[in-house]
Amino acid sequence: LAALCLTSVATVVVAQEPRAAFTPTKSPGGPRDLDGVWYTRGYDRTYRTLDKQLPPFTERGRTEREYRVKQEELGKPMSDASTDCKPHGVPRIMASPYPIQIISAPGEINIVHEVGHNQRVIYMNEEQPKDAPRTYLGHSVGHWEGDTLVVDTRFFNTKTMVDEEGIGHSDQLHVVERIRKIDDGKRLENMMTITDPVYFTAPWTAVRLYDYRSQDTKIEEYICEENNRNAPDESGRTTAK
Amino acid sequence: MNKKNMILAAAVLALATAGSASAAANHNDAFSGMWLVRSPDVTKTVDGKDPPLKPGKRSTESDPARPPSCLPAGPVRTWAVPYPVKLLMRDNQLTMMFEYNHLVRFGRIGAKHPPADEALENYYGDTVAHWEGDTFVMDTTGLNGITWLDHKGLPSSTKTHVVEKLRLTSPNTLEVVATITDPENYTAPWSTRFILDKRPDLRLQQNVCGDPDNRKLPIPPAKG
Repeated sequence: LAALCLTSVATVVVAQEPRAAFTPTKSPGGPRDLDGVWYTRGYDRTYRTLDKQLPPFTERGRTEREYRVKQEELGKPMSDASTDCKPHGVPRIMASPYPIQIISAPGEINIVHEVGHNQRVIYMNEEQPKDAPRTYLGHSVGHWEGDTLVVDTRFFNTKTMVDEEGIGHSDQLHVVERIRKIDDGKRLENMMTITDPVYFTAPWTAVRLYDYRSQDTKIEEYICEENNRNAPDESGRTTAK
Repeated sequence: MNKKNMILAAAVLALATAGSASAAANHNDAFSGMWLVRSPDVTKTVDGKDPPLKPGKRSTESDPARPPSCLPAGPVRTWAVPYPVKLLMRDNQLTMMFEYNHLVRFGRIGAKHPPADEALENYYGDTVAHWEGDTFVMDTTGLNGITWLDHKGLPSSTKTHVVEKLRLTSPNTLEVVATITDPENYTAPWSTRFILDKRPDLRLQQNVCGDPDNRKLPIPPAKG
């Protein structure tokens, strides 16, 4: 397990190679048809507020992040669920530098992530249950507000992080994602509002954009347990391309 | 462009070429939904016999060098795993979302296998698919030879070629007949059959390998 963690942490920490310039094309279907392969624009390990600030931490939230950042600076990055090849959590999974595929079905919208074969299921037009098992990816329900898909996710365990760098959360984490097509359907915008009174003094919102990439990208096999997606090169370097 | 990207580009070109012609024919909602294997038994041939292992080849159940757990089940065995699978026939592909360790597999309609010298070796290999009437045919090569064909350790190899034929024998019954060709391990091609029941009463639950909170087995039959 230790070896697995080291491998995975190395994957995360090594700098990313710049991806080739890419001009996204328009996705087919109307504004409520989100199906297809989408790829986050650029790779950013951190979530920040819309004005690029750290979130409004409670003392606990601030202390925990600072400790994690310090440990990484000391060359001792701390693991989390993803480094143990477990699901990454929400919203962290939505910042992964690997493609995702959205697949709608009657009454639900599925998101298949290349990274670590994470699967999300959003049950449409349902209320959240009063209680549910605490899980890595939480329990998601969704509905449309105009042409924006609103996804409400709660009932998380505490094994995941909000972002890759060091923002943590408690089991009171509540995430509302507002997902819509922008730029004439060439891109997807996800505005994520994060609430957790144990870690933050107020709700805060982060954003990610995704290019439509069905025309040149498919979801590949990524078995974190063996790291077959990004095998190291001859120098032992591994990158997320 | 490195080798992997070249392979990707070739595969995508094949996808794009095939996509327009077959898009109308592959939208089969009858396959879509939650399914559960009826009897996750040890693999036998469709004639009820043991698979034709070559002399010296055997199941690796007791092999101390057996591969670690938490890795994908691979084709064939994946149908025998006693957790549900969600099938989605959309976007020119069959997406298989397995509850077991939240694994995912795709059968891409009209795609072409990469040339042999560029083939990747994966747990689920490279799966291309097409319709033969109402039967969905998945052709898989590019396996890594690590996966077993059943939970007793029936071997596979990098030369294993699997053809899986999926068809509805009733609206709520899915038959999967897998034909395995592997000259390294078997004296002849052989076939095995899995029956899955549609289970709209089930939803995918979190399943993380080794987690104590995973769904308890066996899954009770549907009510009514």
